[in-house]
Amino acid sequence: MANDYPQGVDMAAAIAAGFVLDRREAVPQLIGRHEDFLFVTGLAGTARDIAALTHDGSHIYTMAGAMGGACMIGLGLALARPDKRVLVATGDGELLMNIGALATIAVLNPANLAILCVDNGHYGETGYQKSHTSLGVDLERSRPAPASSAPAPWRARPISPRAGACCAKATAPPFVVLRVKPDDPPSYKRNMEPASCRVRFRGALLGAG
Amino acid sequence: MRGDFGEGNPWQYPMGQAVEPVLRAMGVICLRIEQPQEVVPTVGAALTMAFQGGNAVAVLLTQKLLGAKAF
Repeated sequence: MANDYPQGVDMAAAIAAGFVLDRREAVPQLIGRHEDFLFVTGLAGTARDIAALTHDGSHIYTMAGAMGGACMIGLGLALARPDKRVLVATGDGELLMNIGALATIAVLNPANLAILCVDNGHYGETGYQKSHTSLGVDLERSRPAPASSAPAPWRARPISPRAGACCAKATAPPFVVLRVKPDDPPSYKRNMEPASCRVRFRGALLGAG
Repeated sequence: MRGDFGEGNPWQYPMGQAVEPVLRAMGVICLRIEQPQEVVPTVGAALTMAFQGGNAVAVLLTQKLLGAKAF
């Protein structure tokens, strides 16, 4: 069974450190009705999670470059369109590249933005090198936010099927960290042509009042 | 450099293809390396051009040298 895991991953150590969930089950269960959100995703794992969940729907914008930009793209979208719920789904590696984005989001505090970090403790796409979260960094505790106004980070372990519904009704940006096993995401082949995905996403944004 | 020889990810082209024109427009001399045996002499030449010649120099490690990424 261990042979099924990505090469070089110490799965026992990862599980002992709390990376226990199966992302193929946890992400869909957490999100619930994906039609309730516009999605911005990170590059590899979360892009495939959300593309598989939505069958590469027009209401998702999955990145394949611009690493570190997912949260700020989501923030801009949430600020520009307060009538829409925006869900940023990104990985620990992508989030760690621009963790200051969380401080800006905490300050601006848009009620229609939620952030889901699918944390597998590794840079999966480039060969499962360990990320900071495998080396002791806890994204929930280290999230930069003003102490007075910050909503408590959501404890998403074990999975609550209602968490997605709560994200859809929240009045401050929820920040959910799912600690998942460093295992491969769904092997969904998504559209990676950025211009056509932008046009498609814009259609979804403008189409449904 | 991404967005270069053999690139399969469309997201990587805008930045990769802009590197050399942008650097040149800023007055940076660009030296492209495509073969492993060019690395040492090119870096040596760039060091001379920068620290004796007083010029801004970039050594560009192309994907023909590095191989295109699979992601």
